[in-house]
Amino acid sequence: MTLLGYEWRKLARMPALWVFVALCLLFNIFYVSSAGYNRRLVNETSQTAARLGSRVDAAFLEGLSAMDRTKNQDLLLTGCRELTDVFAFYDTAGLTESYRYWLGDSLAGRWIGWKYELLSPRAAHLSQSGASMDLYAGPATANAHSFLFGDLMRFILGEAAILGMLSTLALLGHEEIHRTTQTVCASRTGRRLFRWKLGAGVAAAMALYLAVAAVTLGTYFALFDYSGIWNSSISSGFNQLTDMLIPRPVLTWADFTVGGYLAAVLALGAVLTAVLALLAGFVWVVIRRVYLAALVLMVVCLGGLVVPSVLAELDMWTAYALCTFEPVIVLLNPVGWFTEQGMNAFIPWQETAVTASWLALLGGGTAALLKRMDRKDVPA
Amino acid sequence: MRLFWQEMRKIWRPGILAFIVLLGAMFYWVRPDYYREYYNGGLSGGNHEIYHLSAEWAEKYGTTMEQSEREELDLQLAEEKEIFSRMLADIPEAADAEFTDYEGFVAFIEIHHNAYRGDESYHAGELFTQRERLIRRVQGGTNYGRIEDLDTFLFRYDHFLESPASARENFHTVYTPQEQARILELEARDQRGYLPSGLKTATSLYFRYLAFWNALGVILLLAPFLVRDRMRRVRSMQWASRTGCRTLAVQMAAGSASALLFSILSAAVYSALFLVNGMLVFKDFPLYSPVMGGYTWFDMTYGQYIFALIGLALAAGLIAGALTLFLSYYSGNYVAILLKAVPLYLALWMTLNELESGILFFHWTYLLNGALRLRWPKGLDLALFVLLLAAGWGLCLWTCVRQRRREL
Repeated sequence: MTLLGYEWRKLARMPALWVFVALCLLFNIFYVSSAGYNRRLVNETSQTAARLGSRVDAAFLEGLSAMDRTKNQDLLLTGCRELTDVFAFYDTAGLTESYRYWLGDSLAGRWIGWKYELLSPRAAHLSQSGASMDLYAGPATANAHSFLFGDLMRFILGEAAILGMLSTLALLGHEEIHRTTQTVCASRTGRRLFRWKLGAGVAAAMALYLAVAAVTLGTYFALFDYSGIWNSSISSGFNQLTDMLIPRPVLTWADFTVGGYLAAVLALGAVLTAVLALLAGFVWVVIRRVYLAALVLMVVCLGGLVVPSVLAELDMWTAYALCTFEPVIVLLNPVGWFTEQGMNAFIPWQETAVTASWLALLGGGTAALLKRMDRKDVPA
Repeated sequence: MRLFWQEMRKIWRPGILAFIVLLGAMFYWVRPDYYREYYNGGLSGGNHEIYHLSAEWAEKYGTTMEQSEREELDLQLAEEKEIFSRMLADIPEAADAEFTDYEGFVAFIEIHHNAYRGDESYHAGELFTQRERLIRRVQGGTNYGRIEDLDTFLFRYDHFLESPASARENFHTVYTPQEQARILELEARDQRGYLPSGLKTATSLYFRYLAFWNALGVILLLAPFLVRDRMRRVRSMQWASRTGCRTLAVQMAAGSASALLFSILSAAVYSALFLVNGMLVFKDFPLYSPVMGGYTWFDMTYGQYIFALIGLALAAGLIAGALTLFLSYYSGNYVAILLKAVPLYLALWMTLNELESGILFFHWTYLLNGALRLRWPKGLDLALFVLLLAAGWGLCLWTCVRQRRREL
């Protein structure tokens, strides 16, 4: 534990790190404050839900009609009157058909067909549970959901990924930077130090992620009142997601309330940050040069975006499907986590499976490489 | 000079350069390539056909379209419609759907769209799919896009003649006095350029991405440069001799020269890839094209516009270079400079995006979620570029002067 403390102290003494964190927070707060255009509608909807409940039924409509009329209440009332059960008779075969237009009869096309077949009972279940008739944020739902879980979470994850990767590189490369590698590696305990460094880097990455998320989401929830809608289902009929220009209701692999979904997204985000910090560790152990490792990480991350797009353009859909099993694709689409995700996922719970398998792969791989490093001569 | 070349060798390290080139190739694929391909015949659509039509007219009528020449286009439109009818004869489903000419096809599309808007069951039915398929087949298998673009062009040309901006009621409220004076000057000249507006947009965006890339590439190239000396503790050694005392100034010069060289090399690659599309046909076209819209502050041709955009991209590289050198000098290790480089790049990206959006044209910026519209007066965007460059070099100069006064 003392070693861990020393490593964290090294990070804490880096002014650039704190300046970067401060800039990230400033940017996030500015971005949150720029979303004021539907704030009043979300807040009024939440207050209405606190009074009348978050299920849109006859009693709710009656209560809403009896309330004082404002422009937003009128909008809400109209929206609620038009709300229908979007999952009743919802056929996921329509989505399969749409994707088959691009994927054809390739393996990827068959996988996506299999995925939507598995989703069919979920649509029936969501219809039965009445999730579609939940209020969530009323007519502002789709915008508020994509702002919070799409844009804002993507920023938080991106910033945490950069912080996590650079913190891990800073710790692992500290001896190289200060030319103390040979001294440290002169003893067995010294060589084991790199394991501590990796652990400290991953823990720091997760801590920084939680700190950035806490301040950003704290600001968001100080401006947007969610008190009445935490228990609403995210599969509300007001909500929808779009992929390949096809809008569809939010089909999740399990039932999620707004609060539950936020907790799940934050938890997976923390693990994903750890995965990216481990990736930085893995690359450093292979290359052993901080700046070059950072460039390789950039290439790997940008490559994670470019390669699938090249493969899609070349109609190599099976290879494209395999490429979606990597952490950068997961990181860029938090709004789709735990849902069907369209062309970004080919198996149920793909984001969770990808994050868990990369955690195991990179954890095991880096540990094995570090063990190998114990037996290697230190380059002069 | 020997010192300068030694510093250049420290900057241009093959390993780092290889990764930057790889990143550059991926960056090109992600964005700028789209704007290049859009005019390469790769995609069909309105902008694609007007590009071909304008290129043909350039050979026949020159860089402006006079009234007498415009009248010849009515004949061309009639000819194109005849060609359409002949091509339509090869599609038997068209006759089944009861249209045999261009007007009939346009009416068919309108009926289809009206039915689509009013009736959801129509959208889900077999008839909808059949009609959609037929429309796509006709649009793809005939000169439909060409006729559509020619028709739009003629409408715009006539509309411009009938109602020039200065004759509109809102002329004095929409434009600032400076803009009004420029519009009146341009209208008095009656120079009827017809450079396709989509081409201007694509060119501006393509070279804006060059500016973004120059900033990124230069930051990555120069970020480790001065940090390395500090990490290896050679600064004190440099101070041991009179020549060594001048090292920082030489390093700043080598860094700026490298930023310029990198930007020139990138610009050469970007320009070559862009110009092989046949863009040179338009090089003498006046940038101000009343038929296609957009007022320019300066009298220049499309070729000069490309040069101006390349110049701005080089300036972006130099600004990024100067600021990176400054930050690199004050960084203790690679991670510290990378933590500064990320916000620096994002700040430059946002600034360049704002400055270059509509540069040399009348343009405005929306602030406070669109509540405030800020009009850019003539030359302010260019002045800000110069100011940023001066600020970057000023910081480098200040660092050199400060270093000379410091005790090591």
